[in-house]
Amino acid sequence: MLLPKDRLTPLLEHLQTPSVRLYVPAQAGGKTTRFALYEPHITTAFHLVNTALPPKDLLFPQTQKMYRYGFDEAGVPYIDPIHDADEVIVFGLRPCDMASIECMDAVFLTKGYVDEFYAPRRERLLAVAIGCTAPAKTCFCDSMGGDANEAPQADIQLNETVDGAAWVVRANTAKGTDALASWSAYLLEEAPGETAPAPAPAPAPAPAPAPASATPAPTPAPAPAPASASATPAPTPASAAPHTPEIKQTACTLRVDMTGVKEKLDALYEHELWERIAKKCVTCGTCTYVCPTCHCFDIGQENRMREGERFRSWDSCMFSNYTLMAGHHNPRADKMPRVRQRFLHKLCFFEDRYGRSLCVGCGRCVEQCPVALDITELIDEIGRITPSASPSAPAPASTPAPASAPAPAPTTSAPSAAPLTPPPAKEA
Amino acid sequence: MVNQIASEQDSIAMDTAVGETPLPETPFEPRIVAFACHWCTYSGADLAGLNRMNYPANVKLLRVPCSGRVNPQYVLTALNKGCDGVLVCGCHPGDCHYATGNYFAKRRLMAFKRLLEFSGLQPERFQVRWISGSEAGKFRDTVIQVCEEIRALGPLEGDSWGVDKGGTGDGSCVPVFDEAKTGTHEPSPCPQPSPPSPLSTPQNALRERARELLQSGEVSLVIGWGATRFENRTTPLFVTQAEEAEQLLFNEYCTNTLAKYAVREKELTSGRIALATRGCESRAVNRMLADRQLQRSDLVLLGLPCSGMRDDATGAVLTKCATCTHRNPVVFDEMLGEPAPEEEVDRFEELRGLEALDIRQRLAWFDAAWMRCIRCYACREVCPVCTCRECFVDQERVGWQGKQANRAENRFYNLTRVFHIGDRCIECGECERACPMGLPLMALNRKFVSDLDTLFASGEAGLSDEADNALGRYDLADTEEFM
Repeated sequence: MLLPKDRLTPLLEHLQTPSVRLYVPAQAGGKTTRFALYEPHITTAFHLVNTALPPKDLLFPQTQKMYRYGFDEAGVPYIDPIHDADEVIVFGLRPCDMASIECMDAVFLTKGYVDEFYAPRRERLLAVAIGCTAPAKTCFCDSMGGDANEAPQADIQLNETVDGAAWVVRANTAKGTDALASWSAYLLEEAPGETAPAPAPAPAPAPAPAPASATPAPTPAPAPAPASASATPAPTPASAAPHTPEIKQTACTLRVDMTGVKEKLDALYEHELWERIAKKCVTCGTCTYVCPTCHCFDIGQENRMREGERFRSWDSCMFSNYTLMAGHHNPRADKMPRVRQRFLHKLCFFEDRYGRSLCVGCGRCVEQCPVALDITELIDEIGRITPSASPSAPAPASTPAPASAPAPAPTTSAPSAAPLTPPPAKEA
Repeated sequence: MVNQIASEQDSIAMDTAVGETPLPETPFEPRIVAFACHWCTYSGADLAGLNRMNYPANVKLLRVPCSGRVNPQYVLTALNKGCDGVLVCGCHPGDCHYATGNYFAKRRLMAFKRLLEFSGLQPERFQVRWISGSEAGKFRDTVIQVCEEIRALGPLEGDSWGVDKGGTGDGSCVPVFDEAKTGTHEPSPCPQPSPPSPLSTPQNALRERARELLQSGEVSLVIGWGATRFENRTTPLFVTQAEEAEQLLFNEYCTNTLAKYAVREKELTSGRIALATRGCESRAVNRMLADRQLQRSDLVLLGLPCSGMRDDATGAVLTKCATCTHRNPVVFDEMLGEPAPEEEVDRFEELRGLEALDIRQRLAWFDAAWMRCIRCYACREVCPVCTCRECFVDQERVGWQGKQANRAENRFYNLTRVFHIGDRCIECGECERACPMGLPLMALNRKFVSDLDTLFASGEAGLSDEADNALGRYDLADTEEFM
């Protein structure tokens, strides 16, 4: 099905109901762009590749009240949990944003732990993704296992047609299929004359539901459509296999090679490279706060006399007091270990636990770092490091040795194998 | 510099003082905290009590050893915790028990009051008075007057200074006040950035001198700029080997001010450090020398002329460079290249536009900015005069800065930051450039700088390495604006 671009605003107005909060990419003052509540007066920014701030705060707000506590009139203590999840539609996520939500799901919903504040928000989220058409120079999602055109985790996916006048709409999940029913008044069935079947979404949507990759939507969608919208402008509900017009395909211009990076990092904890890249880091929290997958938080409380609130708020491993312990010991007091921690978490530790990288290649940190500290350059640099004498890829696979002492593994030539020996750097 | 020493008791005392007053019933009764000097006003209040004078109970006295003890963070904290107004009372000039405390207080609080008003707080809500131990009548009259003024204004929460109004929590805060209306903030857009053109003479000279200095062992580190994978972007570069000197760049996209790196690198290197030094770096160095962060002998300053750096996305001259008054270094060991022509610029143009706005408009404008702040502290980290070993933000046991990201906390952070650096600010504009959210940080800095200049003729900071910051000294002839 097609969503003509001139029907976008009517559709958004239709979706924005009192019971649903609709978020769209929008200008938010200054040079800030973010997913903001849709209102008629806001300046939407669907043209953006990425909003400056990621959509993560819709699921994981920067400050989230958890519960209130105190003593009531009778002096009896109380604790009132705060759950504030509304039905939320996010319209205009990018494929990398969707991938980041998948990472957050892994953290907050799997491994035997379900976060009671994240889960209801996630459950009530309807994700509408738009495939990219012109990636930014900092985009590298397809190097990180993503695809700028496909967001298989999204409930509904939009892809721009080649002529740029419309989006091809398709549902990737059952929830998306249900939701599409109420969109039907704004959608066109594909023009039956078009003959450009199937080339586009054939390979990608692996976890998408069964009903065929080319035309997933029409099966349940047209059924409720006539009932709900009598003024359906759609021409003839020709359910006889409409053809999908060709969609714009794109790819990132920035590419990095992730082959073997994780395996190398397993042995690079003590490498001199960390001090080198940390030198320019100013340890602000920009990269972590604009990162769509960074999910560390701190728990605090605000007390006023006989009542108080407990909340959690984003924290950043770039801050010195992130690791500050009782008794004032700080295992990462200097910035080098903090920088190392951030990159290792992104590229190594997360993969150990969840089987994928914590970087989705959205490029926000690359774009916004005040000192141009660039994760893609780090990945390149790690790629150039030869863990043993042979520069080829398969080498690291043979030396997994995860926790062993870093250097001694390669006993081959290359005297002292410079890259792997910990330098006598003095660490303040 | 502000005395940051504080104790948990301060915070608790303030909690108690604010919380004791019952929530106002109709009609509105303001909650006011008065910080009263132990040696004068506190006795004056005692005397008023002994004389059975009547005055409103809205004012809660907090005793401080001296008006000079009143950290402006106290004022902000009180306002954030729900006060409708704050009164500070100290000894008359000349009567200070500690001889000079109130002179310092006068300077600080005058500048701070102007800053508060600029950011949208009605001036009546923060007042300062000199009241001696024998002036029971003046104490009573002051309290009555302040109370009436604030009662007339209504509760502060209505003005969104209250606790936990707004916030970035759910992404719903779209500012209502259009920044573009003030006109001066966005650099004129230039659709496509031109590729960098190495300023060849200085760049070659920089590489050459870096190589020589490293080869001869005169320095063990050169701090300059190097390439990134993007043509129009550079990054700070640390060169330790002579053969790496070729990687140094100097073109119109060298946006980072480098001087602050020298502080940490000094701890790590044994030799001297050569620093690529433009006007902004040189003033930062001067200021850091004055603040005893560096020693001049640690540094070899390689002077570079600068004709303004450009934004890598738009190609427009950076705002911070468009308002730069010193394109050439004010201190250097050797100058690499012909000095750039200095231009007459009006660095207070944006400020005057904001000052001309109605106070409500300014409040809305700044409130919109505070709601955008994500508290990444990039502004703090890049600031060459933010040099405290432990920032007030990180003093968690004291609890100055709450972790919640909401308008009140964000405002607290930003106003305190300005106050801490304001009298030493070299106006390099790095804070505003580094801010990922594009907050108008220099508008605040410039307001403070401009006020200090008006009040105390402080001039531009960082032109010499003398510690002559306006809030670190006083003059018996200082004006009194509002006492």
